[in-house]
Amino acid sequence: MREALIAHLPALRRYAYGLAGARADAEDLLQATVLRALEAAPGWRRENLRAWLYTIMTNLYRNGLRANARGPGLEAIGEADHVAAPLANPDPLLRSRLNTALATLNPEMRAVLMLVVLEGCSYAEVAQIAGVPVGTVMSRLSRARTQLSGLLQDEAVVYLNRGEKRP
Amino acid sequence: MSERHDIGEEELSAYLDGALDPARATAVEAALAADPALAQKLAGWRSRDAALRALFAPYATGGNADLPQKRRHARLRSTAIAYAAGIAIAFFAGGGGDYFLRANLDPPPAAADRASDAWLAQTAREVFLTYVREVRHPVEVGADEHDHLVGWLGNRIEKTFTAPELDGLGFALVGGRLLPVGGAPGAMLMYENAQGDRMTILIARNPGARDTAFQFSQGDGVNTMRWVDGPIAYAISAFFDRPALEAVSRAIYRHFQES
Repeated sequence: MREALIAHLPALRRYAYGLAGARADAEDLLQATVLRALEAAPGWRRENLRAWLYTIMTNLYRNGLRANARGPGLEAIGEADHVAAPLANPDPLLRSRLNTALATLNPEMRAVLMLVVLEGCSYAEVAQIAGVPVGTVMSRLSRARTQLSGLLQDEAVVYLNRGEKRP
Repeated sequence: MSERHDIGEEELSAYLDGALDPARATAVEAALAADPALAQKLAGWRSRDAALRALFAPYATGGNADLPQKRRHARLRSTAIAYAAGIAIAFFAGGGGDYFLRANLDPPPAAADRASDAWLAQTAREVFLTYVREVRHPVEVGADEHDHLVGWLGNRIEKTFTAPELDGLGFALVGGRLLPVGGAPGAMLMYENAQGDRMTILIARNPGARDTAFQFSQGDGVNTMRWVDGPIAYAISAFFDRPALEAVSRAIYRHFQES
């Protein structure tokens, strides 16, 4: 179990950053997921481990957002600045715009988007992970893409109305 | 712009992911050929997807490649009074650790396991194995960054303590982190010697009510020494052998008895 989990760590860390963005939050999300997986390992029924880990992380991410919405966050504690992280994108402006746009997505949309685009999950897998029908996965995904387009496409200010159909 | 097709955004999105059946994919391709605006939208989505992957792909690190290796020893700073340091798992801010238990997942190990303190050895072992391999992020906060966290850590595990000084045994504090242990906040302190051997101290709330003496256990190549002192349970884990582990455990025990 642990060896298998370690093999999934890179993908899990990537997904954590895709969900949480900020460094400290993403690392916390990863640690919480790993710990939860180890604690719950006896109850794991040898199904698809990857999907199970993504499910845990997705749940913690959603719950975490709700917990944060109730009380103050932990930003004041400070980021562990000494922790080295890869420079994710050489263009800080693009990086910042992407992160800002992603922050406008609701957690359900963001999770589906990251599972498909970043993690390469099939719609059926995402449906299992998110606990919703495939049709819901598809609509969340297209809404996420449309919303990001509206926010990121320089010349497409007209798309900002978020209408389902353009004239 | 053409309005002669009925390709909606969901279908376009599914086309981008290769999730359409051949007949619908063909219909989308026909619409794309006839409708430049639709093709432009798809191109935009495709390049955005690529940008997202480029943004987050570099974070796909960790795992087996992160074998223990020697740290830059100069960075290890031993302070006269080294306080425990850790950082919150963000979600625990509001509801404490117990929200963790409500996550809709399989239940944690049965409560019966908690009656004995065998869970402690198991947890300590897993925590050790999880973080000992980490080259980049073995600890959340380094030994040199404890000041602003002392009060917070005390609140979280409801016991303010200082980190043992183990210089005499060759170990320097690397740092620490806060962890959920059995649904309650716990702390992990990591030490390392000049050879790069690592050792962790797990400090957890004791769900039982009794004290225990030193107990040794072994599993997965990890040696663990544990004891329970009232409301707090301690477990020391390392790869090195039992005599060495006992020596550091005695020093750590003395420290916590006196503090």
